[in-house]
Amino acid sequence: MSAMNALLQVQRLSKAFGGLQAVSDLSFDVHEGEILGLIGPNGAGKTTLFNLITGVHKPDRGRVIFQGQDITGWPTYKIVNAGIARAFQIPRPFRHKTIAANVEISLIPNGLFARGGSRRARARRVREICRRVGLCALWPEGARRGCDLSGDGDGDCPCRRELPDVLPQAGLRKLEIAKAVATDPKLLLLDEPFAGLAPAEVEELSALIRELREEGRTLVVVDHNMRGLMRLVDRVIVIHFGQKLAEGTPDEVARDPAVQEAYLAGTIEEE
Amino acid sequence: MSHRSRLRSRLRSRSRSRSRTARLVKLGGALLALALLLGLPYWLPLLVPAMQQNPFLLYKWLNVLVAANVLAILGMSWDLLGGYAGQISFGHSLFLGLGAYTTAILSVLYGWNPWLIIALGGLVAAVGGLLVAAPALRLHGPYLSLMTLVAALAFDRLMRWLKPEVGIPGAEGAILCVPHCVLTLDAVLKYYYSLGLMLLTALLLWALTRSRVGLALEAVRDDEAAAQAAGLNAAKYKTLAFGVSSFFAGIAGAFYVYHIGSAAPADVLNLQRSVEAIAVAVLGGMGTIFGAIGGALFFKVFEELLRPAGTLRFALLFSLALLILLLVRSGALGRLWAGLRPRPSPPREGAEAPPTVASASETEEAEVEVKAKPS
Repeated sequence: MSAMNALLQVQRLSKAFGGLQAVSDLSFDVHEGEILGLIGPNGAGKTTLFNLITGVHKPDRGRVIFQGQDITGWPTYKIVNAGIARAFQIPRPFRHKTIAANVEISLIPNGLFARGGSRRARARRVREICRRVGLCALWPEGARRGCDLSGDGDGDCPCRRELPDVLPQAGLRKLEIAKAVATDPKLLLLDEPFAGLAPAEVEELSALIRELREEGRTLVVVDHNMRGLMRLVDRVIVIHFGQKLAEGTPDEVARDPAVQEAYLAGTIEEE
Repeated sequence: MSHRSRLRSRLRSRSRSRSRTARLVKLGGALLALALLLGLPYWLPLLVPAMQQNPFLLYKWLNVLVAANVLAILGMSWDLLGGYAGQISFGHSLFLGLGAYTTAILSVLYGWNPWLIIALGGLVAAVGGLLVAAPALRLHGPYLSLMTLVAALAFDRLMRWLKPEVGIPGAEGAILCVPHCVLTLDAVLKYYYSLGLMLLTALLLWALTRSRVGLALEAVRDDEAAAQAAGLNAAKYKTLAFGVSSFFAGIAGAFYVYHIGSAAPADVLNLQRSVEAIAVAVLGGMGTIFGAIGGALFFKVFEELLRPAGTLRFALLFSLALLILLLVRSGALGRLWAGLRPRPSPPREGAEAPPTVASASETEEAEVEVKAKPS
């Protein structure tokens, strides 16, 4: 039953770097259509876990099953094209390319003669996504006339003019998400999307994450503190020293003695 | 409306009209350069009266320009791989030589149509490029460059050892293929052939870099992991860049054989050719394609003007290239080019920069006001 609606299955995954066991014997499922929170203190192995799922690192042991297919050891681009996208913890835009081009890169097909749509269709899709994640909204009403979808396809949208450097931290986060969404993922992995954001920005980003779920995408959100995630996620998995400490609804997890102990021990920050 | 934002709006509107002017200047400059190159055999004798009395002086300079066009093709091919895909090759003489030797051998043995043989020279070089790409994909930075350098050196020594008994064998594996590999005896016509081939190469490479493939190459160059995360098969795009780049380098070598009538290790396989390819691309500005044309013209014309200085002229030219490499990494012409380009907003320091919303709204208000009062 659980295998039926499990979009992603992580099975007994282990990875060590030298003597450091970053992830050890970790298993969990991600259900289709949920927002799953992955919580753990810094160094708990959350980012390593994302790297293992997206093929950046190869696991020492264990398997990653996506939609019933064993994707363990696949190259990153193949995993992305299969439907798993990831937004990096530290935004890494292509600095010499405009915001729109940054998003467009995710739309390029690998087949040289593949039908990637016309340049115009791609530009339109880029604008759609930039609006979708709220990048255009960073500029005031008047300055983003060109972002309207009703335009002639080559509007004077600020995203087409400006380089990522003009974006504030929240904008860079949005760009990371835009780049990930542009690959049209079924499963979206967000690595600490709220770090360094003001409360209002956290609210806005949470709303966007919920909207992405409404679109039929499944999301895994990593954070080191629980509070921001509690109202957003359906389910929480707490990771500690590369192992699963607790799993359940946010309420269940918060009441879990093991988690509370970890909190008291100060290893899980509560801000 | 504050004084500051008024000032800013004025600057903004000026920069906008400047970008339109810049585009016109750029287009005008390109058309002028094209007209000058096309009309060169006619206006050069008018400029240098000595050429009217002595047509051989004109032919000599036309030959210099043919060599410049060949070097431009080589430089542009290098720029696709180095400037766009970020794979710095130190061994482009390998692909130049593959094209040259293929041409020399085929023209002597089969005597097919020259253009067919030139195309085959490019194809053989492309195969060589793909063979180099396979191990090169595992290497990065200086290790990749070193590998291309050693591959070129190995091929150079191989040809010196093989001493192909084709055509009129020369020293150390050289092939003298006249009269088989003669395109035309008309110096003016040969100039136009080389110009046509160079312009065609420029157009094809430029179109490739402006396409989605060019964007993918730049993404792979700037951040390979991020490009992979965007779903791009980095290995495939790098291989493609190797293939296309070596194809055009091979075309350059093939045409060069039809220009000088021989293929010699000391000439086409000389590592100096590899350095020249980099030098002209750097002189003209990496990642511009067209820049290499200017770089090659500059390089070859100065090489000819400095001929009285003997071998010292190369020391002078390469010192100059070194200086430019140190001073302006994007090249002399690249600087000029960038000056004409409509600048995006200046980058801010650090990712934690304050939101631009405030400044953007300020300029926006200002612009609205400017529009409201047409004066």
